Amino acid sequence: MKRGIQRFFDFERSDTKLAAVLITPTFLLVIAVVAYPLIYSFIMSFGDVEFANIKEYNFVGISQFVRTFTDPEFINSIQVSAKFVFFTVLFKLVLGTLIAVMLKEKFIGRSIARALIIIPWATPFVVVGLMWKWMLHSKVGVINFFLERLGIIQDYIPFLSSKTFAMPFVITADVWQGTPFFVIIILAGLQTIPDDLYEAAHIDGASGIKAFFTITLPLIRFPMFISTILGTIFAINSFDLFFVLTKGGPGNITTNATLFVWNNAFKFYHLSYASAMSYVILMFSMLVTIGYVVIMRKIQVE
Amino acid sequence: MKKFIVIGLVLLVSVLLFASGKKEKEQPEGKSEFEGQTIVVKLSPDMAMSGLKGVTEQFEKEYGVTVDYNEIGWDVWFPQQAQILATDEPLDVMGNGKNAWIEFPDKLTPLTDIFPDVFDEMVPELVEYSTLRGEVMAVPFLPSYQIMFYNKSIFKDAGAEIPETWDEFLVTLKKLNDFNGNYNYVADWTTENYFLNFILTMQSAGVDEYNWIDGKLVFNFDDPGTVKAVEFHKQLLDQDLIDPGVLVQLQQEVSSLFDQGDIAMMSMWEMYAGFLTDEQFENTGYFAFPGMKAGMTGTLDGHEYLMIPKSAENPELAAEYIRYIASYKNTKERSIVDKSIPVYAAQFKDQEIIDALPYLPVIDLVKKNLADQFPPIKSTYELRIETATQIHPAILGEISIKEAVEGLQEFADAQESVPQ
Repeated sequence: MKRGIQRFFDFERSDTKLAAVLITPTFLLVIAVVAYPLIYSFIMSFGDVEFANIKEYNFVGISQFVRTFTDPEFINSIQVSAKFVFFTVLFKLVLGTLIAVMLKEKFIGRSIARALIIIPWATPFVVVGLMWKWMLHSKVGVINFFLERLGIIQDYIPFLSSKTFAMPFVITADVWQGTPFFVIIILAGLQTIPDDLYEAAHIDGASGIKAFFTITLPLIRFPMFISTILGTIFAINSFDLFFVLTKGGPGNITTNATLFVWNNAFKFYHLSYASAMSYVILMFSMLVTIGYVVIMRKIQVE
Repeated sequence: MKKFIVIGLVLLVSVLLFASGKKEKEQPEGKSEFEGQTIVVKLSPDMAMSGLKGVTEQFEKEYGVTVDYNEIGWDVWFPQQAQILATDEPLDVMGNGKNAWIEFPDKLTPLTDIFPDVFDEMVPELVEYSTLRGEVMAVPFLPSYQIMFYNKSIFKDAGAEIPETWDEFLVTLKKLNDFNGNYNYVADWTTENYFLNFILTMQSAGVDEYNWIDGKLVFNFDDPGTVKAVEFHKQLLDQDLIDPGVLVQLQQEVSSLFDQGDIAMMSMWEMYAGFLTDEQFENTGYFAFPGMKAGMTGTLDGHEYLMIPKSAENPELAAEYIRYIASYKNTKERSIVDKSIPVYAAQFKDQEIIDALPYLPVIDLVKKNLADQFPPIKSTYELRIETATQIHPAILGEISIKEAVEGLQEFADAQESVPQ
């Protein structure tokens, strides 16, 4: 017994044991703060738990999940999320690629430009939200000011109160904040492309645009996919910007799925229903991600 | 080497655990039957105002007890209080609004027999407000009504009159806007809070938000007066009298805009007067929200109360603490220093308080026309969000007002009522 204990604490002999000891606290912490809530909320989604009866769990089968597909408010919030995800990821991908290509080129101040481009990504969502809220203000907003000075508008527009403009500007704020993430990943991919390929293309008479489509794009497919997958997951889970910019308004025009779940959990106290909706959102995220991965593999095989 | 790293880590963790275990708060000195005991108190900062922390420290000293005193901002406190009540988390004193006893009536200690003497002296309508099925559930501590604040200088310079009706309000607002080029009326019409202004305006059209008819809760959202109220809001936007950004303007932004001194009117809780600087306070006047016709008005309640959850570990000391902080003397001090509305009937005749609270006549005028921000249903918040979902498109001109109020009525009719 004594020898057994001695052997267990003899870390000099085994790296594995030391690794296990050092990893254990983190592993336990992850189980406590990630695995446990995930499992607990999954169980809750099959019950009828509200805050008022939080200690009484009645199994109700899949009725909460059925409710998600018949609730017009949740369906509306999914549509809002879908629009948001589609446009933010598309714009970030296009802009991110263009900016990354520009930042790969050698020019004076490139290092400063590369550092500056990170700033929006490093800014907390709440700060981004507040900043855009003031920029878009219907009375003192700088965007209204410039648009009026340029003669594009006659009167200031209440962008965030408007059915037409509220969603596009939430998307704009998110694109501004999230594009640098795409830039970083795509730029990293660009830097792995050997210059020889461009030199050879140049000798063969290929134009810059042709080289971009035949060399650059195919070789940055992988980082583009990675950034698209992560960008999609971030966009599906987006909450802060909606909360700060519009709180879901006017009406429910900008109430996305996560804000709707939050309202249900912490304002309406429908804990089981909120859990079920969270899992439906998770399912959508997983389907989208799996779809991306399948496409990526197919392209790689080809 | 590896062995030393592991031993070092174990020692470090042990030392930290030992040190944290040794940390115990020193008990203050004092003499009372409760000496050495502790209670936990949680409430919002607006309820605490500037003086409650000091009064609590005084209580600790006098009684020789420890009060674990926590002020928590509303955004966090609202879900947290529900969690505390739902899970029976130990808490001795809770500051909250009507939603607590509407949503969690069985989680609160009935107080009728604990503070009979206090309730006898307090303002009857405040005690009645917290009475559920014959039991008083909470002690009035921060009565609050929404009224109109106005900037005296702007009104004077623009030659504007205090409006009493909606028509007069439109005229006054136009005059003020033309005078300084600003939108001179600010309010919180966000998705989350539009409901409050909506029911307030309904009330000022003479429509009660709901009635009990033969024991059944009946909402009045499809009343012709409600349609008029929505038309009034639409007029404000259509005539460009109110900032179209009002739909995303939070309460904090509203008060901050008014504080800057170049906006003439805001709809706000009267307690906000306590947060004005001396200069702002001197330059601020108050009037009742204008009515659809002369003599009509409306207001909202934002009352906050002190409660003892059933999960309290020391209900006796909690009751003593409430009795102490809600005493005549301490609440009088709150009224004078923090401009809070009195809770004792006799305080309304106290000249020192009357002198300190210039809005008291307005409160007298409006409090009989009270819209209930917590109607007796368990889904108040869903009703709030649904109100904005239905009515915002109507005031933006995307759907008809009739369609919007009917949609809201249909939603409200489907809600489960809480028997009174």
